[in-house]
Amino acid sequence: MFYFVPSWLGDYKLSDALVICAYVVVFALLESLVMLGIFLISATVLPAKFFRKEFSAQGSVLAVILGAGAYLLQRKMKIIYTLNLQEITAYPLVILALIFGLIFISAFILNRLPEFTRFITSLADRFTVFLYIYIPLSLVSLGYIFLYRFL
Amino acid sequence: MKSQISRREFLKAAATFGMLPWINRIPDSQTSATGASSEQPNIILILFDALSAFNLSLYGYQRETSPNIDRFASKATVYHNHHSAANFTTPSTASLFTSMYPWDHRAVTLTGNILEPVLPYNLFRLLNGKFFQLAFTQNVYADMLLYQFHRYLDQHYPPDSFSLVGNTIYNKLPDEDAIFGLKGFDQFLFRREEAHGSLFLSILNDLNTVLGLRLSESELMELHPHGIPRLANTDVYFLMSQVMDGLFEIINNSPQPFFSYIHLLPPHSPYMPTSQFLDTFDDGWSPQQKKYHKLGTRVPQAKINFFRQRYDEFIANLDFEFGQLLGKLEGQGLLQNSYVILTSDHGEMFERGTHGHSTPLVFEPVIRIPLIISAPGQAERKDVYQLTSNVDILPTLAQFSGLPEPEWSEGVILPGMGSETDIERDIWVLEAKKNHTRGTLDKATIAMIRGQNKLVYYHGYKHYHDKYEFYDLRNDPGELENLYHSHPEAKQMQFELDARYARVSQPVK
Repeated sequence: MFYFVPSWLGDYKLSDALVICAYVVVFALLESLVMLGIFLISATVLPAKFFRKEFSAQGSVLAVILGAGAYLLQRKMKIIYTLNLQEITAYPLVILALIFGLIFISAFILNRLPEFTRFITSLADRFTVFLYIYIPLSLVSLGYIFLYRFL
Repeated sequence: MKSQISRREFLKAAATFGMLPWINRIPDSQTSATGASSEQPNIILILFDALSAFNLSLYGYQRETSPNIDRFASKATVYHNHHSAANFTTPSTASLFTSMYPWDHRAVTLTGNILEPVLPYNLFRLLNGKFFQLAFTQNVYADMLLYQFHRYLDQHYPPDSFSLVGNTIYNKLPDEDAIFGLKGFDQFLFRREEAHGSLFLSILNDLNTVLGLRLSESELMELHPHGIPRLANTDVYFLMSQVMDGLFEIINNSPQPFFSYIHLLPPHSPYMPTSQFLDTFDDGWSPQQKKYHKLGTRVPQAKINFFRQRYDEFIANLDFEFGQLLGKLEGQGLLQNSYVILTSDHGEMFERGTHGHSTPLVFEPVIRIPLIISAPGQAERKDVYQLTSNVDILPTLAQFSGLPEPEWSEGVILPGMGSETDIERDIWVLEAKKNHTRGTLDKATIAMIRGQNKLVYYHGYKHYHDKYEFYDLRNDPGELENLYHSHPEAKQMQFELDARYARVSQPVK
């Protein structure tokens, strides 16, 4: 995205570029809420010791691992277009199984290593400072889109 | 004996004759939804993206690529010297819409838009109120231009209409935000094949698209053994036959008179002909090889020949489907009361080591495009060899609509359509995609064509700055010999080109 910024500014007015960024930020908020929703549902559905007990630490660990995995997959996106019909139906199930496996493994580790769990929790607490930037930015973007359309 | 008319008879006659002008003004009982008279013929404007005139058998090409277009042309006016105003979609289509050269509308980059001050001067506004206007393009960049005129369109079909699988996202947003949606969603968050801006949801979208594709492919493997055609820069896959069926439905069901702008992606790459046409031109033919140009690429000739073969097969496939569409339109009687215009936005190169149209070069294969116009009831073919440009389309459509030629148009009414062009008329081509929309045109290729002479100026290119090339198109149609230093017309044309370029390359607000 940022690679094309110079040509964007050549093609678009600053207000147009801000609308584009606003849409992207709002979508990012939506995606974050979807992932949070999935974590919350999982924590609600599964027995407490598997997720709910150390939700903050475990959720943070899962978010990092899944984010890293998704990033690595993104770098090889062309692979998806080479998958045949059997693979394309099997791979999502495999990924789902891996995610559940991760939940159980992370629960196992965090329940047995309280100091590590405390460390992760304290890290997660520190990272919440970014929410003070991320959430207002998302709300401003949301407001900007509506204002831009109605002005 | 002098005849005598009584006062009563005189008054009756005077009243009757006096009513005649008013009788003519009584509206026809079959007025359309627009209120225009149904005697106004429809206009069907069809563009095939990246279709070069050089690759059509209609224009003497070695391979029999266009038998159906040839048949269509047998009752139409064929323009043999028609050029686009640029060598890729955005500026060329913008020139068609505005009847202005790219330096005026400044939609010179791939994702560029027409400048706001220029927006009121466009084809759709001109024809607004006279026609029911519908538009459909499979090219997302041309679609961005259509969104700039959406308020004049009665029906605007998105590029993923009539498609097999996949979708575009930007057109799901409000019309005013579609342009931003393309950049933010389709070209970043859900960008095809490369790393997406969206980490998770885009993967699900891709899986969904590929699943749909594989399910379709299992049924269509025999029809498209090398893959199903796809809209460039999107995840939308389509069958040409389905698209043509869809087009027939929307045209047939449109209130008359209508103006339809139809811009189909084939034969733009990726070249995906059906099995019926695959390898039909595997004839071993290789055109004359031309030497590499400094600004071109170095694709080996064998590879270029292969691409050319696939391109020709894709054209033949498209020509077949076009024939089907024409047959249906003819069956409904639509050809009898419609102008049908077949053209392209730009051509495609297969020479000098360069393949495609993403190039700073403006040789004839990439700017000379077909133009065939069938008038209502036309029974015989006419051929026009005068120099024309796609900026001439708008004033010609105004002529078809009974409207005066717009003063702001840089084009003229096409020869054979009610006006004659001056044989010494200049037409221009500009390639400037590496510049800012409103800035100085620092890096550009500009071509000036006057009669049979063509002068090309390259400005701002590393290792090829401030260079001129001059070609005599009549005696050297392959543009093999650069006569810049020897031709007597070269210097005069250079003087005029330099003056024009100095004026139009300045920044705009």
